[in-house]
Amino acid sequence: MTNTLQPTFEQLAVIMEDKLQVPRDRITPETALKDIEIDSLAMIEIMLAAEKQFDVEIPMEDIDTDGNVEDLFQIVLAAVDADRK
Amino acid sequence: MRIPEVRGGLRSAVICGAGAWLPPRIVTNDELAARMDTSDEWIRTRTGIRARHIVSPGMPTSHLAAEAGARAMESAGVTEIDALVLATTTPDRPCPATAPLVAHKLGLTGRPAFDISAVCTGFLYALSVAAGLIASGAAAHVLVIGAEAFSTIIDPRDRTSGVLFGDGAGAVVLRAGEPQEPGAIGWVELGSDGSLADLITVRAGGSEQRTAVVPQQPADAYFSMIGKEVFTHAVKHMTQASLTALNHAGWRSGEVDLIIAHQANLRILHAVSERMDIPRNRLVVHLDQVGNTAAASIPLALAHAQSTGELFTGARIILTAFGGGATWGATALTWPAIKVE
Repeated sequence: MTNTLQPTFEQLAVIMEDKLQVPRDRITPETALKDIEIDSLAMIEIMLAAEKQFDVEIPMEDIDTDGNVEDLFQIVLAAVDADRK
Repeated sequence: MRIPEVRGGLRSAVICGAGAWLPPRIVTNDELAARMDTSDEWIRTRTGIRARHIVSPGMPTSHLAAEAGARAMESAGVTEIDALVLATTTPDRPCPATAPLVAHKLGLTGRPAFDISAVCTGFLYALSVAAGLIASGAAAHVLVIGAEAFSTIIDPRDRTSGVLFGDGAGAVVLRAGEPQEPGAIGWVELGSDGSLADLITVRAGGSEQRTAVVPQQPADAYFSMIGKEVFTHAVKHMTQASLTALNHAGWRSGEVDLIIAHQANLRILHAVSERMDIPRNRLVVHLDQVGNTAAASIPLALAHAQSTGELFTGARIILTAFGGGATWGATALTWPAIKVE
């Protein structure tokens, strides 16, 4: 069952589009973070914006620029699920 | 110690003068790029900094502090100061404190004078302590200075943190007054977390090094910073402290005219204003011209904003900072009518 308060990939993509100034169509789950020129500060900026958007705390320690956009989305989902418990 | 004349019932600290001083030598990003592996683009896009002022030979922190302090005293129209509080990360010497020498240079020999060490939060810590001196009746006029010769602790080969910092000094004069006056210092939210000591540090030169079991490295003599972690902590603590200060002042975010935050990194400032739901154009930005000047950052930004007219009489402002320690702080105040050169 889908929880209607669950963060959507679209919401994260909008945040990333704003922070990275890249076109929305370049942000797909499979997009490698290195391909959209995320620097380490941009990663933090995105996660901080996601914290505000979804009203959660996201642990920043393990976030790195390897992996893809889906990995970032999973981090956000995990934080939201942890917050609910 | 001179016994100050304090009228009964007037115990709030009110800003009545401000001044600033920057050493004349300017170093641009391009000049740095010519001698180390960096670029104007990297520095600007990562931090917003374009240039910084650097001390010349024979110009220790006391020199900058005295210049700024003199200008603040002139702005306030006072010659009698009861105490001098100097916030700095770069004292002239590890011992004694630099404040007594600055007092001496300003013709204030004999007044109580001491340093505050809270890195980039130093000016807010100093404001809080100075306001306490006035509240207790120990002083009627306090000169509060934030001064740094930060370039002197930067590793010349450090192309990450090294390019961020600059030198300079700013100061305010506080007088005894009433809590509702423009310029009155209200609640100053302050905090610390010593578990984060390694985030922003110069490891060598103190008792830790002198009692060390493990030999230290040459790089320990210089400043080091873990930028990514500082970024996260800074945004969160500056936001939280500012919201607490707003709460004490009874203001909503929308009522803030200007945020004068410690000028560490433009992207930190943007993240803080976004987190507080305050439009970006209410951020005072000075770091593009002077870089990160640590404890001098806030008073320099105040003087700069006053001189451009951006900071106007009656403006509701938030001052906030995060620094080494780690330390953090924020306070809300209404800006008074003062003359700044």
